[in-house]
This record gives sequence, C-alpha cells and structure tokens, in this order.
Amino acid sequence: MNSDEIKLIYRSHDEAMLAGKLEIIDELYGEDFVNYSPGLPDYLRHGPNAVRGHYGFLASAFSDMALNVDQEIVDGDKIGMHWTWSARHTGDFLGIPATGVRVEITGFEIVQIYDGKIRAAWIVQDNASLMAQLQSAVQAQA
Amino acid sequence: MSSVDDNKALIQRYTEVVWQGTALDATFHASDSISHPLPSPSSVSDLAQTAGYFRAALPDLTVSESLIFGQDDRVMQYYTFSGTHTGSPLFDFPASGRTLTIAGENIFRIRDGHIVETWSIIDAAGVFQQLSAQ
Repeated sequence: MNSDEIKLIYRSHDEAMLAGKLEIIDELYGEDFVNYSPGLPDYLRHGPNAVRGHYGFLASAFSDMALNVDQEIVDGDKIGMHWTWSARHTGDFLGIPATGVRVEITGFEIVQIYDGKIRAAWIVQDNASLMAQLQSAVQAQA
Repeated sequence: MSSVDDNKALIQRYTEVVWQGTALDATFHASDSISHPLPSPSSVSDLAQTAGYFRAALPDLTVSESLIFGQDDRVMQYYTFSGTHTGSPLFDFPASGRTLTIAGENIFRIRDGHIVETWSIIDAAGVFQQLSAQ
C-alpha cells in the first residue's frame, strides 16, 4: 500500500476515534468494510456506519483517549499495529457506571486497505484486563 | 539474514507444530528468545505454553484461520482456533463440553531463522463469554 493509504488508519485513530470527528469515517472506510474482530455484536461489523457506532460507543464511556503505536508492520494490502490505548472512564460501559479512573490496555490491530479505502479489520485487544481494571475501581469505591 | 518470505514460512510451520502437532520443536526459538504473552497467568511464560494450555483443554483443537504477513524482521499473525472443551479446566471453568472458537494475534521478531521475541494476545474475554453464556 502507498503512504496515503497508510495514513487512512492513522486518521481513523487520531481524528475519528481520539478527536471525535466521526464525519470523516466515510472518507476512510469502504462501503464493503467488514470488522472480523472477536466479541463484536453484528451491528458493529459492516460498513462505515459500524465504525461510527463503535467509536461513538467508546466516546460515550471514555474521555481523554490516547493511542500509542508501539510497532507497525506493513506488507501488501495489510498494515498491522501493536498499540497501547488509554482513557478515562467517564460514562456507562457495559453496565459499569463511570468510575473516573484511567485505564490502559494493549491491543493488536490488522487492517486491509486497497483502492484508497479501509476494507477489513482484525483487532484483538485485552478486554479481560479492561474489565478487571474497571471492576477493581468499582470495588475500591464501594 | 532471513527474507520476509522465509520468516512467514517459519511462522506457518510453527503454527502447525505448536497448535496442532504432537511434539514441540525447540529449534523454532533462539536460546535467548523473549516472550510477552497476554493474558499472562503465572503458569504460562510463552506462546508455546499457551498453546499447550489450550490443547490440554480442547483435545480436538484445530486452527481454523491464519493470516500471516511480515516486514523486515517481523511477522504478524491473526488466527482463530476451535475445539471442544472436554479436557482440563480453562480459566477455572471445568470441562464444559462446549465448542469454543478463540481468536489471537502475534508479532514475532525473527533472526537467522529463529524466533527471538514474541508479543502475543489471546481473546480471554471471549473465552469467558463463551463459557459463561446461558
């Protein structure tokens, strides 16, 4: 993939997820986009609307999100990343009301990009650790 | 120097042996190889042990998907495996008889045909979800 295509996933992270500019998602993702990541409900899998829904859901539960890319691997139409995501828990997340704590998890993300759009994603992130961090905050505040 | 294609082939063979084979081949790893596995329970120190842990729990385990690509000295992999939980406990859940499908991703750093560093994750939250679903 070319350097403009690599920028698509960085814009998705930095501008759409972190800065909340969900209106740019149609520029970045193909209509045929599929998110193959485990643990997602079906309505968050297909097309740019699913990405908007996913980022909107994150923004309803977390603030001051940050993403640090620790490794990047590019080969053909795939780009892979190993990253650290952190955020403050300021809204309801899967039934856990805001705790105000800062959480941090590691994730592995692969996206497929061709013809100028992101077409597919495979993300495995440490959701078990995220839930443990939130539950520990709930217990500490009880 | 290993080429990216050689490195990808190494990880393809490693996947077959570690997840589906009957014997671990220690020659895949350099003697000073380092692992960063997630989750990291005290009983598991590297990816081969993680694979052994799941094979003991899911005796009919098969790798169903494996997406492998690489750049320079790195290879990245997304994979899923499935099996029936008839063996040892998984995260304290006793044998459930359920068929589980579990995803993971790995990054390998390779030098001279050997794995020297591994970063890996298994979707443990997905395992909990499948084992505790009504």
